[in-house]
Amino acid sequence: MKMLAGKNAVVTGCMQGIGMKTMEVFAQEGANVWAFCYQPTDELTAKIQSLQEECGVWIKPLYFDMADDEATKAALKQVMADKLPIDILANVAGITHNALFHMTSMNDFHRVFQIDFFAQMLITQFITKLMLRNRKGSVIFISSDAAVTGNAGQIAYSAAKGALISAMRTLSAELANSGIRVNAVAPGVIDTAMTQALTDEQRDKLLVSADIKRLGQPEDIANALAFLGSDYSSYITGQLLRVNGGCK
Amino acid sequence: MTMNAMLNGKNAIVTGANRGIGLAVLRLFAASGCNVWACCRKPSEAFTQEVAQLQEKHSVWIEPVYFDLQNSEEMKSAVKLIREKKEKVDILVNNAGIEQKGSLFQMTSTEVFRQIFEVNVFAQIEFSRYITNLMMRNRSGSVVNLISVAGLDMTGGYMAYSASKAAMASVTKTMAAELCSYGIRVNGVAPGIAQTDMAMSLTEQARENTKAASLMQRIADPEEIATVIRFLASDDASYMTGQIVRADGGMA
Ligand SMILES: NC(=O)c1ccc[n+]([C@@H]2O[C@H](COP(=O)([O-])OP(=O)(O)OC[C@H]3O[C@@H](n4cnc5c(N)ncnc54)[C@H](OP(=O)(O)O)[C@@H]3O)[C@@H](O)[C@H]2O)c1
Repeated sequence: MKMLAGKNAVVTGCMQGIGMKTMEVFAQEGANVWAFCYQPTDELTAKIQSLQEECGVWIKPLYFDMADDEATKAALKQVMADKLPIDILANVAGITHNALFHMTSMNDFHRVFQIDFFAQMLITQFITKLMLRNRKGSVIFISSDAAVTGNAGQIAYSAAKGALISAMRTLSAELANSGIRVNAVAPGVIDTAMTQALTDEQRDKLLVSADIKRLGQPEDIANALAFLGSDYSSYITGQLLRVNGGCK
Repeated sequence: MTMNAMLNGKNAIVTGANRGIGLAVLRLFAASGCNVWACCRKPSEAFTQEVAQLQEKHSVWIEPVYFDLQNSEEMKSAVKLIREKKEKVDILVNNAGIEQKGSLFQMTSTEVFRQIFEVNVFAQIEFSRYITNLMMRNRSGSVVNLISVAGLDMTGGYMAYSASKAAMASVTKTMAAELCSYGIRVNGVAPGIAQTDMAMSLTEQARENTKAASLMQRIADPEEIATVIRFLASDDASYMTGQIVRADGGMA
């Protein structure tokens, strides 16, 4: 049996990187996916097509900008209109902002928090409301090592990711008796467009603290999300799973 | 990768495989296509039957290995037996352990401390040293240690046990750092409370307290701990090392 056979999942940030890989692993493990993306690309469309054929699942892309609450709500209403039980919400979408504290404008803070925190709360509110009807579900956020250890030059990003950890813990407490588990994954340095924005020097410095001397791959995170989304983690809630190659 | 084939073709060593969480691990690993050296103290009719059934059902080999963790000579012979099979060792689950009769710090004799540490710490390190030595030759391996939330959260009443588990949390991290360059990952699972003989030996009060402290307000099935162990043991966790994963129904 596949790990997520027959489950329905919402995955955000499917356009690229970890989100796209998560969509792929979820489909391969037998889950149907509502794939939230910023905008269509040829690569994404082709990927969805081939995954559907290969895995015998459906994948519905929904395109919108998480900076726009109204657009987000409209997409969520489309999910609701499908009237299907939702088993998993993987909040993958996120943006980064690399700047020192004194160089980070309030505008930057607002922009980062909008995507990395507020929009995720909005989506999670909608989706968990649907999960409550079935009294089961698994919600997963993506935090970051930067939120745990701090990371010079990433104040807005690490603060938003820290807020997610706290929200995850509160939410896990609020939803536990409704059968909904809430956890987060904290990736280390993962090889995606987001980390390619770092300078070589920044990247090397980050790797110094990892025991496993390689960048993490999107698949490393997607596999952890599949585990937390599955019933194989049924006694795990309120936890931060660090997938970071052993950084402290 | 489908979950049931998650450990396909791998070979694992599981200690304390005859009951409790260890038995759940043995069953799950076998069902996931994994061959197992099933370590326990003494042969028994029930265990022999269990092993025979699992082998047949899942087409894997399971080799019982009998030794007491407190007996270095027995341990050495066991390692020899494992080595002589000339199969690669991919996974080590250090599961066997003992608990302590609940008693306050002031009431806990040094003797009790020593005995608990002997099994829960020193024997684990000794055995891990032998086995990771074999893994080092293949430059790959995954070790999963059984910690406990008792070793991470400070609660009163089971100090020797808690301290032994805290020591293992630390051992886990140091081993991870030292063995990483040999391709060996080392992680821990910290269960809250799981339905086993060990949990049943706690006082009713201690059990109820632990249960009440969890968001889920229930005790885990041993299988729910085994699935977490399997994840960490598998290649799906290939970028995780030095971590202690709590499977505690939501406590901290
Ligand atoms: N159950 C829980 O709630 C819980 C919570 C947190 C952590 N854990 C940890 O999870 C692990 C398994 O616990 P469990 O609940 O499954 O315990 P259990 O039901 O009491 O089983 C313990 C196992 O360890 C073996 N063992 C003990 N001393 C040994 C020795 N000197 N040499 C060889 N084997 C020995 C036992 O063998 P015999 O049958 O020969 O005695 C048995 O197979 C332990 O490390 C425990 O500390 C359990």
